[in-house]
Amino acid sequence: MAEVSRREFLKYIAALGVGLAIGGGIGYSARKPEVKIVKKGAEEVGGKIKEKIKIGHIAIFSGPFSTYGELQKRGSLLAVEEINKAGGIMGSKVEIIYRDSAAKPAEAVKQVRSLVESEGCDFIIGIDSSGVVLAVAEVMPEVNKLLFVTHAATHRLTEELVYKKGIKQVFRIAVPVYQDGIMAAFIASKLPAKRWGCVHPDYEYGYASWELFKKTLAKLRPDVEFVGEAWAKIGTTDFTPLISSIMEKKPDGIHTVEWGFDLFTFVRQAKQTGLFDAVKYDGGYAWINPMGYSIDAMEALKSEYPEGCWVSGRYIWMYPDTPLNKKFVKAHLDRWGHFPAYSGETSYTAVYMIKKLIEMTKTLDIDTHIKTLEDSTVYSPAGVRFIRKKDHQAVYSVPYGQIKHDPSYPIPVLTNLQSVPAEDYYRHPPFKEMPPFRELYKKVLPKA
Amino acid sequence: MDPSAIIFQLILGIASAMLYWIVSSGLTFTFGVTRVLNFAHGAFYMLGAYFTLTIFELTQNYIFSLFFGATLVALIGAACERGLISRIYGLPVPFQLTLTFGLVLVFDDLVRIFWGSVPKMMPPQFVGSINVLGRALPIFSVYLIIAGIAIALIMYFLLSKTDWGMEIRAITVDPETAVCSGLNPTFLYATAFMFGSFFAGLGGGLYVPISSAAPGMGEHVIIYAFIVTVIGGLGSIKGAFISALIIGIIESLGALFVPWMTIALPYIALAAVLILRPEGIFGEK
Repeated sequence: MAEVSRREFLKYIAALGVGLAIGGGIGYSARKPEVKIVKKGAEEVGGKIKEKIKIGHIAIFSGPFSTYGELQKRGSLLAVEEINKAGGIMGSKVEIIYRDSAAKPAEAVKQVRSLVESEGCDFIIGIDSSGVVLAVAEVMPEVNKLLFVTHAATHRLTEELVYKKGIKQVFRIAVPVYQDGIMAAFIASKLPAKRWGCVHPDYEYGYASWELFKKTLAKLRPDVEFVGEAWAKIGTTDFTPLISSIMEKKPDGIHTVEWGFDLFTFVRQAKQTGLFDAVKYDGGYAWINPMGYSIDAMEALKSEYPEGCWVSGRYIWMYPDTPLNKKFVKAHLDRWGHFPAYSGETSYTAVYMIKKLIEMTKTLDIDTHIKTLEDSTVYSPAGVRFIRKKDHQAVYSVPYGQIKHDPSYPIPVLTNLQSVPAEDYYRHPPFKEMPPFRELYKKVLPKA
Repeated sequence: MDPSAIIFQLILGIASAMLYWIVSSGLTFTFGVTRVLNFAHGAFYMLGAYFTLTIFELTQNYIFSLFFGATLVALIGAACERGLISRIYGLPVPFQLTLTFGLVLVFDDLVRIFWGSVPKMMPPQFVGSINVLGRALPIFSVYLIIAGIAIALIMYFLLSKTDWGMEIRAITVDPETAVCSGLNPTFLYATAFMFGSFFAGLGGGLYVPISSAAPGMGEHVIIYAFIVTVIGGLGSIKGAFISALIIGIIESLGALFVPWMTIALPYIALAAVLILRPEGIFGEK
């Protein structure tokens, strides 16, 4: 990684990382609120480049997880509508084509080929689910188009396929499982709990998150124990046997990456079985649910999600407090009547990145695009994203907060936001070590 | 390990098993009578959840919503049988799968249009817990056990003590002789399908206050319902009850002793049954 860009990146992140309300603004809020890519030596140029710029968006639009396609679509469609209303990309209209992956790797690969070969798409965005993204990434060199991953979180995508295998066509806009495992451990390290248990979905995402959580927390707090694990199949109808098996181990902290439909069932049943009571401490619950602040969960569970639980997302709408984010949240609310989901923000940003990329390079040449994106800085609703050259991961930090029921909002909000500079909780190429990389976290993260 | 922990885990396993039983009861019954593998059974379960939720919002009466919702599902089931499924009786299985899977997609999308794609929740109905062996047993686990046993008794009564039940059994065992003796197959198949759909709807309605309703929610349970019916023996109601208990209990004890392989246990049981007794525990050869 170039030292200059790293320093430049750190400058922003350091300001953004903590207490963003104060620090984040300076320099950043003075800018015009729009998504922007900054790269030395690259400038935006005029002139039409193609009659129509086509973007293929692949997400889950059917079955039990179809909510997740819908949440992404709200973001990307909003961006496309805004761009077209303002004259398109250098005069070219943007067309977005939605395709259903049905959460199946083979189906998503088929859709990629069809979008590129039959529809003539110039870019692909989207992809939920770790298993699907690993399959899709493998075919990107063959179809030779850029893929902006907006949801799937497995670190193997960027660490193995991009960094080790050198698949350069793939960029990930969303924070990977570092948020779910490593950042979660930073939060856990500040809580009084000493006996951690987990209830996780039984697949790649659950295992990866729990591994990273355990490794990081063991480094941060050698005094904690990991007392029990429960693995739930996707679509678990009754969590009570799992909850009771975990409660037999007497945990005082719970790490759970359950999400979507399963999370609702789990939270409801955990309340009835006394799991929340078991992890209560003075300042809330030692309950860490990384994707708990997903908009579907908040809209469905509302006040049923106990106040004081620690949750996060790959973006949360109240952070950062910048004009660009406020503008995005307002536009999303006006257009859809809902607060933006994390995958809505990543999809919105992906579409705007495509716009900026074309305007900066005045070409659809993929090698130029890759070079431009590598080591660039993106100003987006979620804050400043630094696109790391070696693994094509967008590095930005997302805080955790505690659930609070505020009657002036239709969904719960987050208080006591806690954040660590992204550089300190993202794994770094060559991915041999686990965070923390320095002692800084002790200073930046107050006692939670 | 404390033996009371194992007993408690067993009770929770029985409660989980009752959910599997309620969903598979209708599936295996419908198959027993009509010989149709109904993939849309999960969609009926989903409709039961949504109907119960919406009727509850209007009436605030859960028991009424549950039965009225299940009745509506039964009527939809009957309409599907008359309009579509009755046309493929006797055709090879792929026709049944294609048609009933098509119904799943149609109902999923209809639900998305009417209720939206974000899952919906209704207020929990069975709040609190009772102290059993020094642990908190949720009221809803108790209620699941009661509901499951009640459904088993109702099914037993209807099938063995009523004329309709006798006719259903007759047409199941020997359709040709039954028709020659003057039984009306159209009526019996339609009512059997209606009866099966009613229990699917009831399952969804019973489930929604402890979880939520979402488009496609039936796709998860239908897989389990198939495992249960295959282990029990396709078409065997008694088999479905026993095999649901087996699955619920091994999953529950598995969570306590071998948490890392809980997910595999039902499939191991399925494989074992298919190897040792391919027709299922109570199935006919």
